[in-house]
Amino acid sequence: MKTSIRRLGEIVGVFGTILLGASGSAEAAPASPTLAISIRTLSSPYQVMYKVGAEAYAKQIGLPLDVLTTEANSAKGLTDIKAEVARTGGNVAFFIDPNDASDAVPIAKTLDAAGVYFVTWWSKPAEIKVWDYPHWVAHVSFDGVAAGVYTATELLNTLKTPGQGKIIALQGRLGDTPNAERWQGLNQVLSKNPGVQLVQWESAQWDRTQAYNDTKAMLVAHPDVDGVWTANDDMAMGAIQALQEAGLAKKVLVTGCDGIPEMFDAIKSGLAAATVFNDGKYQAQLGLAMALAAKQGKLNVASLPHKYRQFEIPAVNVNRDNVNQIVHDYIENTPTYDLSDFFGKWSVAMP
Amino acid sequence: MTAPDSGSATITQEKATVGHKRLQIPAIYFALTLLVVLVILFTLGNQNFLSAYNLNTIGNYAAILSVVALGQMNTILIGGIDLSVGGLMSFTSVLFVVLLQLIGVWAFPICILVALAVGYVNGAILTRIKIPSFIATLGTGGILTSLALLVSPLPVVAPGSKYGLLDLVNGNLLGIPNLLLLALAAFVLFYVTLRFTKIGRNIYYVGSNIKMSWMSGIDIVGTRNFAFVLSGFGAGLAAIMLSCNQFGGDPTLGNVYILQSIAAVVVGGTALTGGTGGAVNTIIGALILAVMENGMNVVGVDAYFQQSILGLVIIISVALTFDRTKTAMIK
Amino acid sequence: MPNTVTSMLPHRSTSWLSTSATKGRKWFQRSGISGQLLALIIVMGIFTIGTRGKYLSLVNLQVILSLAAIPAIIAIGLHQVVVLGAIDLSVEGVVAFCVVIVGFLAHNKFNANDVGLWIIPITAGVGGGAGVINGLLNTKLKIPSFISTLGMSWVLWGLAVFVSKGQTIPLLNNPLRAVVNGYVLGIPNLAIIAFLIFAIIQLVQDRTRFGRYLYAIGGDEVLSAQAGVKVHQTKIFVFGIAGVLYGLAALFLAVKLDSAQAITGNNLLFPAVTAVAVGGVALTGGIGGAKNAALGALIVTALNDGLILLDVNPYAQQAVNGAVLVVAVALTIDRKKLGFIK
Repeated sequence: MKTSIRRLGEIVGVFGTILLGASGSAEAAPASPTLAISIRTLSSPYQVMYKVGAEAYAKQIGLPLDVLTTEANSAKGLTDIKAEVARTGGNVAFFIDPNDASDAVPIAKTLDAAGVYFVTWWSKPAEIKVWDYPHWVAHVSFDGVAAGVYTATELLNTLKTPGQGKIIALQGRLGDTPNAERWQGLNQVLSKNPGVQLVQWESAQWDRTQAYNDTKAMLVAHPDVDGVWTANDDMAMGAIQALQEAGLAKKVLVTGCDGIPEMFDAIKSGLAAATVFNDGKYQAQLGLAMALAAKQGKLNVASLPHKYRQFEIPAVNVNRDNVNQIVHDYIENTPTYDLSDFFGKWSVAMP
Repeated sequence: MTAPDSGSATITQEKATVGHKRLQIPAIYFALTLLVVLVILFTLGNQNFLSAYNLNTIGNYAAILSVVALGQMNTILIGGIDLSVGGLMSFTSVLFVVLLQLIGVWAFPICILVALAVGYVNGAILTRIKIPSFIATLGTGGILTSLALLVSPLPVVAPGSKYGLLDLVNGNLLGIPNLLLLALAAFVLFYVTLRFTKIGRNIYYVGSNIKMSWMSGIDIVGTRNFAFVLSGFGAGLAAIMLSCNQFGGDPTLGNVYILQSIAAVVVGGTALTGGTGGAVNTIIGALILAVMENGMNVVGVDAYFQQSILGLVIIISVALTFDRTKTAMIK
Repeated sequence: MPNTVTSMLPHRSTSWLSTSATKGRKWFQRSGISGQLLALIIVMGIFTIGTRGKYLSLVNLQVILSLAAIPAIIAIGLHQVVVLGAIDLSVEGVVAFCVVIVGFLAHNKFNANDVGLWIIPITAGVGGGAGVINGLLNTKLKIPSFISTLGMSWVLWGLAVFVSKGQTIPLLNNPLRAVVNGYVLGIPNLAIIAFLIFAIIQLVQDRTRFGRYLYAIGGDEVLSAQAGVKVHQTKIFVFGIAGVLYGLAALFLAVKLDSAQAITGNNLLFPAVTAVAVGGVALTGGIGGAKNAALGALIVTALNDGLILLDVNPYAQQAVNGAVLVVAVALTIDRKKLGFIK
């Protein structure tokens, strides 16, 4: 029994140290609203851009910011969002990149019931309409199909004989909406270019190492490919490495999506043909600004036409011609975004 | 190769006493204390932690996790493991939503039956083809993951017209969320099975000392098959609960539950060597994980540190709660 | 007392050897990898027919060898822990952390650090350190390895993401790049490195007291301790070696991809466990050596490569993998050696 009591003492001691140490900075819910972003992970450069953009915006307007991550776990995502609502007593405005399209439904029901305004990005089931939920300010997305169309078109133009040849492709995680959209874009282009044959595709789970492994194997099956299309830049970098080892680098070009710094370098040095830059910093800032405006009554959500509740904005297309300019404008400098006009970049409504 | 005869390995692994009742108290006692300490600390960090809204959130998360973990627990109690729960949950999830559109309420029993069948197949691969459960379930898990993607490569949303059926899970009964009632029912089912039925007690005997059980005439094949069927049931039910909760199915939703369910079982004080632990442990383990997950966000721990802190906490909690009197050696 | 341990070891194999029929079969059975070799031959045979020979082309064999090298190094580290009857789930965390360390200390695009070839002992040391902590948690604090290594993995993964801030760190002119990507007589250097690691570990297992202790503990830990085997020391050492090999694997991965990011560690654990199991290392402990782990990694890689070469539907690839895993183990597992299958 004595040892039991001692062990209980240990439990209290150890956990006290850990948690009080960790939560030392936590204070009571502030009177001014909190900004919160729920993103997938902090381990991907693209997702980190959300955080950087959100932090800059929070600093600019002097509000606290909390960052939540889903880590490929939909249930964690929802629970963390609810925890944030509890933490702030509901005094919060949300920017959310759901882990899966289907997550948008429970998130919308939860936050709408809690009276929390929020904006979602990227993934939402087409059947679910934003205007059915008064607190769901908007769902915005970069046009994934357009991104697929653009990179595929650029790739086809760089083939030895443009519009003729064999290509291979790498998809991301099967089941992810952005992957499906970009893939659809590629297929649209292919259907208009019968001279180009997609000889094989694999799913490399958005992962650089797996993309490298898969490309190495596909190059054995198809040593005569003329181009490689991939659904994101990380996989493109893996494919480039495999091409280098096969002695095909710079002869066979690669395209990606997202716009990570390494990809810009690869485009500059002629290893890659094109990518699409999704400006994560702007995404986060636009999302937070819209949700906050709705919360503060500056944006009347109910009066917005449907086309402003679900819409797409164009991403930045990058190829050899403009890569230096893009790097200068978006990476080396952060553009000052015009956040007074939420719909300045509006390109197309989602049905 | 100088590998020794390890026929003896599995026998002596358990020098433990077979009786589990007398010694079960301390582990639960510690785990429970840990839970209370966590709750107190998080409440000190932010009073909203104990708000009804937040308790409901924790309950929701813990309910689904504990149902998978309760199933998983049975395979761990017999000294095995079930790595197929992830694939099974993914598969059941998409199957459930697809069937919901086709045949309505019948999707519930059919999905449970499918899950039971998968559990039985896992058990049979172990007991009949004699492949270690770690491998057998790793393999079937991969197959089920593929099947889930073949049923639907993209997440499927339940049609609005079927939301009434989803309320079987999402609704309330006398103010208590059905989700919690389902988890409670599952807990009672597993608790009673393990405590008061012959086959439940056999699960402990087989896990404690398989050779001795065999010699005393226990139906080892039947017991082990049953443990895997129970695991399939837990995973299937949890997948249905989760899909209702998400208003849709997702062919990748199960992956994270493989390690989570095992962690919940072990954090609660059930030994991976088999034979010791039980349903109460598992519930507390699931609650500890749910409280950590939720609490760290309620008090505002930086997202960068959450994973690391969770890792430290499970190490520390097992260090404190693991009952070493019952396992001769720690593997 | 130590006699008990040594006498436990070799008798069994000789006794059942004598019952075997032919000499060739004897060697085959004694090797402990007969079933695995057969499985590899069958897998390769099917793919060779399916691809009309392309599978056996020099280029593809080179691809298989080079892709199998890093999983083999990881599996060789992992399998010794499994032989102990324990498990090591820290692979992904250790690799993530070591990769990030490579990113910060090797010549890179983000800072002025350049430790040159010192990066080899540094990553091996950091990985080994993590492994030793795993061992200490398991032996001194008596935490089951499943949890201690899982916790360790989460802690290190979190640290790796925090330290790197989620960024990808491009490497510059890494001196190891030529080695990692090169060939000697048509054999990828990485495969040669993996083979050397395999040979050293296998030799240690076969010829040293450490090797005997390893199998004694895996066979019966309590008896071994009574017989005077330094159980704790041996276990800590085994976890340490595993960590060193994960660290080296991390270094090779980073150099191979010419960049360092925490997510490089993702998706390494289950393939490694699969390789170890397919190779014939019993998860109950005490059975299987470095040759099994290396062969397991080769089988898994050969299988994945073949599925792509045959253009099997990517949606179904995991199913094929799972089915092959079960069938391969069903055919190759030596049930005589296992008392009860768990």
